[in-house]
Amino acid sequence: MGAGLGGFVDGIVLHQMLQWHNMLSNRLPPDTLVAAKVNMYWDGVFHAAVWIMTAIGLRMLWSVGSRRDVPWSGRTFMGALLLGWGLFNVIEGIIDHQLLGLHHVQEYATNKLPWDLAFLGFGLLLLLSGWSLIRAGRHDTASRSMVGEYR
Amino acid sequence: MTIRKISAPRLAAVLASWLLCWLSTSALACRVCRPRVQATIHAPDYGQNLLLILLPVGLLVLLGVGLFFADTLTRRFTSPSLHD
Repeated sequence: MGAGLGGFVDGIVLHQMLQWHNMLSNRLPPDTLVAAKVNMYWDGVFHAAVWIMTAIGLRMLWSVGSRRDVPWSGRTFMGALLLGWGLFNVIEGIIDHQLLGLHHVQEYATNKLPWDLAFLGFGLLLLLSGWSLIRAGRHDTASRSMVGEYR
Repeated sequence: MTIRKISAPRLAAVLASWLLCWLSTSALACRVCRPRVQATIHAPDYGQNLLLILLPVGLLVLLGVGLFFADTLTRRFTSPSLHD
């Protein structure tokens, strides 16, 4: 779910609002209306895929929500969301920006590498924050089976 | 301060003309570029583009589903068989 929401942040903020890049903007620069619309189509495919990923995550959350041995911790939940977002940035950054070169974070920059590395660095920061929140969440809640006993 | 009331037929006429102008503009834009856009999207490299764009998302879904079912799968493959 965190990876899916992270994908939406990328798509909404970097593709649509800031318009720094599109899915195929390094292969097909959006410098004509036709090229921009083709990039828009592939952005739509990407958004559809991250929507499916978010829906799968939501289904998993629903599934563990009914398990009595799973701690219901806000910090664990927030940590998992940040961890997923960080994983999205790192995996998408390595594959799309570095290996395949489909696009770069800031297509308008002369030197694109620092922007790509900053995106990866932000992903790592999210991974570390998420992991530390999950670790902290282990100590701050009891499982719902124990909560049920106290009621 | 008085507010001028616009009659319903006049409002409908204004809205209809605005809608017609808007529709004709978008239709002209699509008539020019749409076939070229469709041809560029559905080029022979469509499958390759689709695969490349879905690759990171596919990997993340596999990782997430794998982690979610890791416990069940580990138990299934490591538990002793009933026939042993």
